[in-house]
Amino acid sequence: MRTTLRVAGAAARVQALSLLRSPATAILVFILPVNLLLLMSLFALTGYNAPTGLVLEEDTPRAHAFVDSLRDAYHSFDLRPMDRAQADRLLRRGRIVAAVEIPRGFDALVGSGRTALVRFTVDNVNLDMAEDVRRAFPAAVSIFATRLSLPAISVRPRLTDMLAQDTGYIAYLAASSIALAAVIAGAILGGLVTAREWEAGTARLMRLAPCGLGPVLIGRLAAAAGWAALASSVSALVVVFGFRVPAAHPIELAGGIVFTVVAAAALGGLVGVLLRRTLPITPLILGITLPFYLDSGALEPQRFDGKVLFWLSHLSPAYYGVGIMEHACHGLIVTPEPLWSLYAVLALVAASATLLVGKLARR
Amino acid sequence: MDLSMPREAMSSTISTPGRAGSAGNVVELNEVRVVFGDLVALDGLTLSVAPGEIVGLLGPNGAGKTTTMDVCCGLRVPASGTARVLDLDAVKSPRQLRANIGVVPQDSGLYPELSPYEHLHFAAALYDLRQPKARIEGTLRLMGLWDRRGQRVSTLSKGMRRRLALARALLHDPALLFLDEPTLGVDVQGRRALWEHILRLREEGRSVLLTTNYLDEASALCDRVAIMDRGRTLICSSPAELRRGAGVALVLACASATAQVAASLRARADVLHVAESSHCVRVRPVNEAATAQIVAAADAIAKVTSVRVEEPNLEDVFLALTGKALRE
Repeated sequence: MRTTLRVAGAAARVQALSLLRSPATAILVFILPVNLLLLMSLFALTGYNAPTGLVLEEDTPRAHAFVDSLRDAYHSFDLRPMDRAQADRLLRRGRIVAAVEIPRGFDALVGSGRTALVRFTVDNVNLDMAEDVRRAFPAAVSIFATRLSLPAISVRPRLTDMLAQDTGYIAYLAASSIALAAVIAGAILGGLVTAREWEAGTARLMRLAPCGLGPVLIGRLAAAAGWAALASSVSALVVVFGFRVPAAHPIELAGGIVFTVVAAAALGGLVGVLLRRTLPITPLILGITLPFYLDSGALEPQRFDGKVLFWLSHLSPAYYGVGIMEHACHGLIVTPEPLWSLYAVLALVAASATLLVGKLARR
Repeated sequence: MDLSMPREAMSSTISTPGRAGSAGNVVELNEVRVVFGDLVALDGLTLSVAPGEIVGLLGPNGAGKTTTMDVCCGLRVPASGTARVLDLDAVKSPRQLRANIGVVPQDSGLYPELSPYEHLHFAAALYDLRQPKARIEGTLRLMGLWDRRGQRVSTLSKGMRRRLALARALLHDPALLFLDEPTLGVDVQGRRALWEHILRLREEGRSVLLTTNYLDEASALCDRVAIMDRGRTLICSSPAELRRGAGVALVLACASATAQVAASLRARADVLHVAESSHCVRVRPVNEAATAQIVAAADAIAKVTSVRVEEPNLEDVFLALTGKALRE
């Protein structure tokens, strides 16, 4: 055992040197997860607040109350004060999606119970965004009327939130993207470092050493996992500081990255031992991981895609990683399984895959 | 640098069964048969290597040379027959066996981004060598690579890489070395340097089993050469004995019409093989008694200006044994 650990340690050191001296691989592993994070955030573009020009013709309490209602309309509007000419210009250039104009006399008209005409212009070139804005505007009016107890409003919905805090779409997706980064970086590097032993003709030579090839591959996988954990941490930093998603449980976040990366590296290593060629590793890992990731509750905790897909997603470490990350970042439990079991499964996957790598290396 | 000093420094960690005081052969293959599906890679191969002996395996591609080495290293389990190496059963005790053999594979098996020193440092860990610095330095100096110890392998010449592969194989002081095509792709100067290193191994009392496609290499290095074809040993003898057994070759210099001379001689029953170049025809008679008739026959077609008697080379031997050229 001592010899095995020493050989694995030496192999890890050699692998770390190789990674440091092969910038292409190292950069790929660092850039790919961040790129995927950015790619995933495209899903949520329409979830962002719509940039809306706010033309305020009077500075009165009711005008400001209406602006507040717009702001509170389910976080739909990103209001930017400007004059009418500027609003028209920016709308034409596509720099804002809509413009709302609160006219002079608004306060007096509302106060006297008469109809106030609020001009609302929508750039409907982007249908998704336009529909979001169209839906949000009546909601804002309702909020305004309710707050001011205007007689025309008779419905008063009573909303009850299940959770103490809202979790934005972007924030939710960004947290799950850390798991994706960990799986992608770990599996690709794991696959590359093991397959390379055969491609470089060194596997045969290692098998001729008294300790055999197994400890060498385990050491290399350990170095790969370390490197991938670093790469995933970069993605996590981008999420925390770039996307402004605070980590509710930072230690859990770090632990989740380590567990996910180790499991993914071991599985990637297994793929590498089976394929024994480096070329197909990256496309294969990406091709397998992305669908599993999307089915792993990466976009929202509740899935409407059927039980089969839900159970299939259990085959990927992404499922367990997403579960851990959502709890680490937002305190959400998004899997039916308890949190500790997610760690346990990842550890089990890592141990089983590593044992299989060692076994297959003897062939 | 003398390799014996650092060897003693690390000998406590490695036992060398079958090395000192063993009267038996270091390699003893007996009727070994290896089958890959329908392909018979080794067909009852019998081979031995004595202590301190260099034995060459010579044969065309697919003859079974590398498979023979794999069996000796315990990487391949024979379907039948026995393989004993360094007094150990290669099938039952591969781990103990591997601690005492050194292998230079055909493709060197080096990491291009690592330096020679890092390669040997890693190899020292693989073979559990304690405090290996002196040993690494000695081996690198011996192979003329000490000055290049920090350079990445990708920047070394092919000859240097082969020397590094040999250095790695020697690092743990093995009693027996397996060299698979040790000079493949190496330039003439590099080959000579490698030959010197290999010959020195014998002086140190090590045994070597090497494969080669180069006849001059087998002649220069080997005490015995085993000529293999289709998984069998056709003959195993010293290069000199093999040459003697193959008879002489005549080189006839003709003033003209060498093609006609060659064609005519090929038709004769007392001629084994004919090769022609621009002004010469090289002929291998079935025996020396036929020499005079062959020269006369050639002279009758075109004026033979000179006749030279050549020692046969191993290609001739191979041809005589298998009826085909070595590289077919």
